[in-house]
Amino acid sequence: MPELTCQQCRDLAAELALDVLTGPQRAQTLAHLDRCPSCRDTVAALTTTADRLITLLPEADPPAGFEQRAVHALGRPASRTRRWALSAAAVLLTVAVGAGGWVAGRAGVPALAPATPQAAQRTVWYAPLTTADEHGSPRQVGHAYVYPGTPSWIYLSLDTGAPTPSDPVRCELLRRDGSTVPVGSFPLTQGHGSWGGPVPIEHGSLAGARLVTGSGRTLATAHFTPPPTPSHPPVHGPHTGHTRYGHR
Amino acid sequence: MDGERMSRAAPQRVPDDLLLAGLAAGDQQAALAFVRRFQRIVYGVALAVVGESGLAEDIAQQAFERAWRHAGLYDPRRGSVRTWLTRIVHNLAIDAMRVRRPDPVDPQQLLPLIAAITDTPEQYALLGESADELRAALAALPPEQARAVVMAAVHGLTAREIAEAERIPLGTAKSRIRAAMAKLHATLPAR
Repeated sequence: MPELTCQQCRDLAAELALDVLTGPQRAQTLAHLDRCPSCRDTVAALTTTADRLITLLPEADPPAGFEQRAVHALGRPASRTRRWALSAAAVLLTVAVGAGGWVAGRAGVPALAPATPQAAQRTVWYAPLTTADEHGSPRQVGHAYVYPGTPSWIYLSLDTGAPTPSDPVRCELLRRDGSTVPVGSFPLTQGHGSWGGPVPIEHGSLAGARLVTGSGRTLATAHFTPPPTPSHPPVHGPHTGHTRYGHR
Repeated sequence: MDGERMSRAAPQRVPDDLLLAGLAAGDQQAALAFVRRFQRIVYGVALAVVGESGLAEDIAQQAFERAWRHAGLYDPRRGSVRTWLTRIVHNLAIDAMRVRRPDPVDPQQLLPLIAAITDTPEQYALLGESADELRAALAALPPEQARAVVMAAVHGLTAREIAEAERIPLGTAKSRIRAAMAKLHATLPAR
C-alpha cells in the first residue's frame, strides 16, 4: 500500500473527519496519521467541526411516554450477553473519566427501576471546595455535590489553578462525629480533576469531604449543610448550600 | 482558579457531567433527569437521519442505554456531554440506515433540513455564539457545497454516493465536501 503524502492526507481529511471515507483510502489515511502529528491535528480539528455540525440538528419532541420507556429500558433484566456487558461497564467505570475520574467502586452497574417525575425533584447537596490562601482565608477551588439517594453518591470537581503533585489525591468523607472514611483517589492534571462515586455511609451522617495529597496535606475541603425540609423548597445557588436537578 | 471564574461556574442547574456520573452510578433520579434533559436532541438527531418516528425512537432509546453503559468512556476534555451523546445517537442512526439500505437521498429533499439547521430559534441559544457562527457559515455556503456536507455529515453518505445522487464526477463531490468543511472549520474559535 503506497504511503500518502501530507497533501494527499489533507485532501482526504474532511471525509475522514466526517467518517465517510472507506476502503483503502481510509486505511492509507489512518496509516499516515499514525506517524504525522501535524495531519492528526488537522483531522482532529475537522472532527470537532463535524461533531458540532451534528449538534445543530433540530431538536424534536419524542412520542408520548418516551421518557419513561427510555429510563425503564435501562433497568430491563439483563440477558447473558447483557450481563457480560454490564460487567464490562463496571470495569470501564473504574477507568478515569476525563481529567479526573469516575471511580465506581461497585461490583456492577445496578439495574435502574422506573422513576417518577417527582423523584427527580429531590435535592442535591452542594458545597464549594475551598482551600486556604497565603493569608489563611478560604479560596474556592472547586465544587462538591452529594446526591442523597439509593445509592447516595458524591461528585467532586477541582481546579486549583496551580501545579499539583503527580500522585493521585485521596477523597475522604467527613462524618459529623469527626471520623473520616476514605472512598477513592483520582489524579489531577495541572491542578484539574473530577471524581465521583458512591457514598458508603448513611448520608445523614455526612458532614463534608476533603481531598488529601499523597503526602497527607489537605488540598481542599467541602462542608455540607443539610437541605431544608421539603416544605421549604431549596433556593438555587452555591451560596445557599444546595441546588436541585434542573430541567430545560 | 479565581473567585470570578468560580462564580460564573456556579451551579444554577446540575451540570451535565454530574448527571452522567449519577446515571453511571445507577441512580434512577439522575437517569430520569438525564433522559429528560437530552431526549429532544437525541430524538431529533435520530429523526433527522432516519426520517421515521418509530425507528428514531428505537435509536434514541439505544443511545441512552449506550450512554449509561459507556459513561466511563466520556472524556470532558474532548467535548461536552451533549456533543458526546449526539455523536452516539448519530452513529447508531447511520448504522441503522446503512443496514436498511434506504433509497438514495434526493439532494433537493435536503433543503428543509438545511433550513432547519441554519435556523436560530431561541431554544438553541444555550449552544453558544460559536454555534450561531457555524449556522451562519453553513447558510453562507454555496448550495451545492451545503448539500454535500449535509449529505456526508448528517446522512453519512460517501463522496461516491454523493456523486451519484448529484450526478457529478467523484472528484467534484470530494472537492465540495473539502471546501465546505474548510469554510465551516474556519468559523470555530482557535483552541
